Amino acid sequence: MKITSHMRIPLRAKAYLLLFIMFVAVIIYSCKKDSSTDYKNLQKELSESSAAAIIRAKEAFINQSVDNRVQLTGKSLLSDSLLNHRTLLWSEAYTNISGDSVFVFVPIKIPVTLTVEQGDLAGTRLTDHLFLRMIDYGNGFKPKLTEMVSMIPDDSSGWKITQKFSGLLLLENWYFPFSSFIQVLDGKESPHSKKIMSSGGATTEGYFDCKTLPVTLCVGVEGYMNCETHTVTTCQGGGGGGDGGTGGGGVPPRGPSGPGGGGSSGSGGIGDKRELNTDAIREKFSCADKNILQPIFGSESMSAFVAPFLTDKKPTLTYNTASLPWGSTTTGGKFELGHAIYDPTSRTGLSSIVTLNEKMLENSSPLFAAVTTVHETIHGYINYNISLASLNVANDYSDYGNWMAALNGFYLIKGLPSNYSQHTVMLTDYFDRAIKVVTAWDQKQTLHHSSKEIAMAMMYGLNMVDPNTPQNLVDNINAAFELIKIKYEVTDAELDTFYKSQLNSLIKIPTDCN
Amino acid sequence: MLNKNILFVVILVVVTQGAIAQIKKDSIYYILDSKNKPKEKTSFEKQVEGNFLTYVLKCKCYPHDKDPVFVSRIENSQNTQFISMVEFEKIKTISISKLIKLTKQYGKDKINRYSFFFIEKDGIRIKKTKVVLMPPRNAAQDAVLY
Repeated sequence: MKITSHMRIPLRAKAYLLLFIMFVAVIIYSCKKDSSTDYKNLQKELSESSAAAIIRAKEAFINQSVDNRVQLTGKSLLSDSLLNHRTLLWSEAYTNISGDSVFVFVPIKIPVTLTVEQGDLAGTRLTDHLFLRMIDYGNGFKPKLTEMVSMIPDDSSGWKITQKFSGLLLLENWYFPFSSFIQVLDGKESPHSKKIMSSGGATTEGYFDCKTLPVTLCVGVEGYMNCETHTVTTCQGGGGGGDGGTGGGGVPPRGPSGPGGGGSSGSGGIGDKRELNTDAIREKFSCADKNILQPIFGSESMSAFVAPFLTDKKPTLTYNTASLPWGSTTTGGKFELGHAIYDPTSRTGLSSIVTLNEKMLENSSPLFAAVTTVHETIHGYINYNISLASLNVANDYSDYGNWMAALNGFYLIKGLPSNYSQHTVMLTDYFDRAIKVVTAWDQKQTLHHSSKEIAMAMMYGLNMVDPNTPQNLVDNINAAFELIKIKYEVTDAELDTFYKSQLNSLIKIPTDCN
Repeated sequence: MLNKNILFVVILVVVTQGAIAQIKKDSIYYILDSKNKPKEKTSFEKQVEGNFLTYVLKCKCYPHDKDPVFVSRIENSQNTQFISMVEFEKIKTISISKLIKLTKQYGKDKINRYSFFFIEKDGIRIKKTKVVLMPPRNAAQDAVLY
């Protein structure tokens, strides 16, 4: 009995111990789950608040007004013409949120090369280091706190958005060209270094302890830079003088490791909705969308062609399908792989609609669907640039060499038959880039193609011109087509055989990928 | 030699004056806010696309029954100004029928004679926006691209 009793106690103890361990495990697991869920919720909340902040900032910016703009004087680092040519990349905007303060940063694109010379640094590229900064201290985004921020890194080799910033921040109010600056070390404001001259004392504006800094800005295109030295001033003590000292939160970069006591990543933002509209393709041809269109749009080489349309609203590139002419590989006839038109709802002409032939998606090889996607998307991209050039010309947007070259490239072809001009540009300027896109896509497929096969597929339809195109233009495009044939050592017979095998292919796009 | 110089100066003056005359355009002001006006059949459609704010005059008064489009570059802060009531009262605005007449004329001859400004209420303030009338789109622009 004793033995039995002795045996019962450890068993019960073991059972209790087991129960206790299970209880603890359940508690730990549920806590862990709660913590994970909380973290995800927090991330979601931060992302949403970031997106909301960007939308609020954009609305405030569009509606902002400065009643007494003309009464203020001062000189901006940039010339008046450059100030008018700033493009705000709202789709790439991000936030730093610190307590009640919200800092929204919007990258600024300027159509020229900008470099700065400051102190020991020479030739630091400024083009990618310009931002619109809007600050909300809890009472909304105000014009006084709407600034252009130029970042001059200490390291002349450059600074990346993912790194903590060390260098000089030049701040100019968006509306009143009044410059100020702050010195930043590892993402935080630091005392001014000795190289900055201090003027000190009170001024008529009521400031005291003003510091000045010479900055040389060079503008133009590579090899033809025009430089001018400006003096930027920052003052403390008397009020005004810009709102430069806004603390760490006002300094890029983004990310939780960023300055200012951490901020939300803002990776969501407006960008959550960014995609080209392929809903109609996805609905009917899910595999074509999943295996062909999306990988192509995501390819690095394709990024320049789709970038103008990666916004939450117009300009857009919309893809759909239709039953278009489809001949016979034995008896002949017209094979229309797809086409592109200007989006009739687009009042600026910046948006386009691409239609892919359903017969092509049902009968042709995945390679042909891939080249058609690239081909029609480039039509959309050229449409965008032609319309942009027209809008720019109408808006007296004329300045600087590299922009003018782009204008000539696109505006001049406007007067020519569209298929002729756009196919010529594709054969001459964009052919190699298009090949790169298709090659990158092809490498991820089970069945690979040779560079000659990819080139032949990409050539399909590129010598096609509009009816009544003058003979000299037909000769031009044929010459450009011949050059590609020579480059890839392609004969007409090879093209004919290859096209027949691809138009009605044995290997087709799968039908259901949902 | 002297005569040649005089001739050169005269030609220069004529050419310069011609150029100045071409640059200087008459300003046309139109009040967009139609809330306080009798109902009009013609309406404007306002849209933001890229960096441009567009005002479409729904009149089909461009060639091929197309609607004229006025455009303003958003990022150009000089395009938008807020004006006082005193300034507003000094401005001579045109009617919708006059605006349609001017756009029709531009649709035909494509001679850019005017600088257009749209005036509208923005809360309690009056906003003046400089806009550009876009030329009619040509057939090549609207062609199907294969």
